[in-house]
Amino acid sequence: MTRYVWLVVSICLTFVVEPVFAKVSLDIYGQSYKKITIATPPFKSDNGAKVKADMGDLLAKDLDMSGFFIVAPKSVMDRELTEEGIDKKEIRFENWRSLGIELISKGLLQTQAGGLTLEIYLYDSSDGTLLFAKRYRTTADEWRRLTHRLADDIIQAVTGERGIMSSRVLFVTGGRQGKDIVMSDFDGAGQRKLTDYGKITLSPCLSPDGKYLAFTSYKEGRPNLFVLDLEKKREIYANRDDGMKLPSAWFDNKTLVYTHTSGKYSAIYAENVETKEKRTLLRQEGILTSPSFSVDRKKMVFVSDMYGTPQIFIRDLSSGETKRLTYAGTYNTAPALSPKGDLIAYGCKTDGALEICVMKTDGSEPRILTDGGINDSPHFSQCGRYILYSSSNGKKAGVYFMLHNGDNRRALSFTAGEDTQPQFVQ
Amino acid sequence: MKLVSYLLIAAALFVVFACSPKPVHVPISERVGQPAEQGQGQESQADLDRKARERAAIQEELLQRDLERQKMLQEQMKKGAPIFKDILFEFNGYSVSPDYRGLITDIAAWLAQNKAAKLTVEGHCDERGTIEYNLALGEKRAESVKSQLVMAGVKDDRIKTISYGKEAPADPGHTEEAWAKNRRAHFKID
Repeated sequence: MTRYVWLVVSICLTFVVEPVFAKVSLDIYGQSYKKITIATPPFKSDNGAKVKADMGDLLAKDLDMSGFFIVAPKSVMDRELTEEGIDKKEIRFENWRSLGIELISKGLLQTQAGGLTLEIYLYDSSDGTLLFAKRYRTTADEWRRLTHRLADDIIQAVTGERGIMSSRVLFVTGGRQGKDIVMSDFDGAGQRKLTDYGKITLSPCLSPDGKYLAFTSYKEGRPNLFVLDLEKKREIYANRDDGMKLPSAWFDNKTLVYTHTSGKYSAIYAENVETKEKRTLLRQEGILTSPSFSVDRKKMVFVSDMYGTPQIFIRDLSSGETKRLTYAGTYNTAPALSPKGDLIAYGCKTDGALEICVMKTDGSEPRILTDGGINDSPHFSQCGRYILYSSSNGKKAGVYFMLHNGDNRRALSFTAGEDTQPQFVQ
Repeated sequence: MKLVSYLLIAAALFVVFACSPKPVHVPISERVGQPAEQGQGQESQADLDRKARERAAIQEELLQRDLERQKMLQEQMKKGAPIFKDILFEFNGYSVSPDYRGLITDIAAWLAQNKAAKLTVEGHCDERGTIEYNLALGEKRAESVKSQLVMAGVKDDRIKTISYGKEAPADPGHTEEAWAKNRRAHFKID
């Protein structure tokens, strides 16, 4: 009973009873890591059998998708285990241990008129330690988002960083007749079109506050750069200069970084889309594309063909010192700097394929992560552990994600069309 | 012998008359018909209507001249189609191969003859590159073709460039052949 007393204090207050890293540590920075076995027996519930089962299934799916867990299948849990209480005193940890299960997630679900309340307790089976406890409350139709939040909280309690299951994904979808920009929940639910021109529209880039969406569109016949105010639903900026303009990043909520290739030169600009105040970050002959920035905006990674083939460079924006990072192969493009600042993901051409690779920010330890096909547009999650990218292998292009060591490669089946240029939106 | 001479003369005369230019045989009524009609005086209401109709027809013709010019250009482009072949590129390359020198000269000559025509050069890439880099690469391909044409004497403002990256392949296949066809600069007359 005491459990309820302190839980009622807050809806979303988390109690991590003791540091967990001594018991379950993950090293995903190496070649491989040990997955943790977790059991998610059905939530205790007086009613709402349907939503209870749906939430349980979704939680198991999310934990599995994360790549950090082996989720115990329902079949290994006998009646005694599934009907066991949720209080520490009621749990026979030795039974779970005998199945090789390291963590047990126990839940109590209550449904009221139009609402849900879920209490979750995460136990370590080795000694019964309560690793995590939280109470969630939401409206009945928001059960999916609640479950994704729960999965992310469990991932955080175990690995020290939040998961990506409640994040959203921005991507381009369509075919030869036209492409538009779509925002979707990570699980593919809640999709909405942010543009609907029916022409080629691509390279979406969302400001950090989610207010402005920059993209390049052929909606007027030629490829021009536009910025939409998503709140007011109107175009606030258009760049119709000759040549190819492609948005790449936002310096802040108002300053867009884009590349412009026209005539002999290419340039990388940072422009305030409200005041049109513009400065040149770099300008040189040939091609410049895909600038990506460190979180402190001091370092810029980009692609240049100044030595004849596309290669990746890093530039210190204050000193102007530029260093070439890639030497292997004749085609290294689309770099994305991890928000953690330790890795760069990029695309490299091998015999007959375009692969996603990672390397350290000094260009050392390059590794190929994918194996064949056309893989493009890598993009890191906020936690730096996942890479989202598009992939096609003679078939339609789709969105995929994997851990940055190449493990846990999964497809996200968003639409029936060609899905490309994905990126996380937190 | 005399008979033969008469026959020859007759034959020669026949040939001369038979080969006379056609206008000789145009009936007089046809040649003088209109002036004769007008010469009959009073402008009837029917005549005024006819003149108005003629003026309207001329107006319409003027209005349609632009459309016809467009049509004519399309026709010319069709006639000139053999010279408007795609220029193909090496993987990742954007310099125009010397093999296309003749083609560039022909297109420049065509543009010199067809002064009203403006040209758009489209730059395209194959699918084995990243979307972003290909969009920039397509622009460079179109621009290098344009600069070759400018060097061949075409005025800069008559040529526009546009890049489609790998978004509009000529061949949707996934073979070396398809890729080679897709790495191209394509011409369009505006």
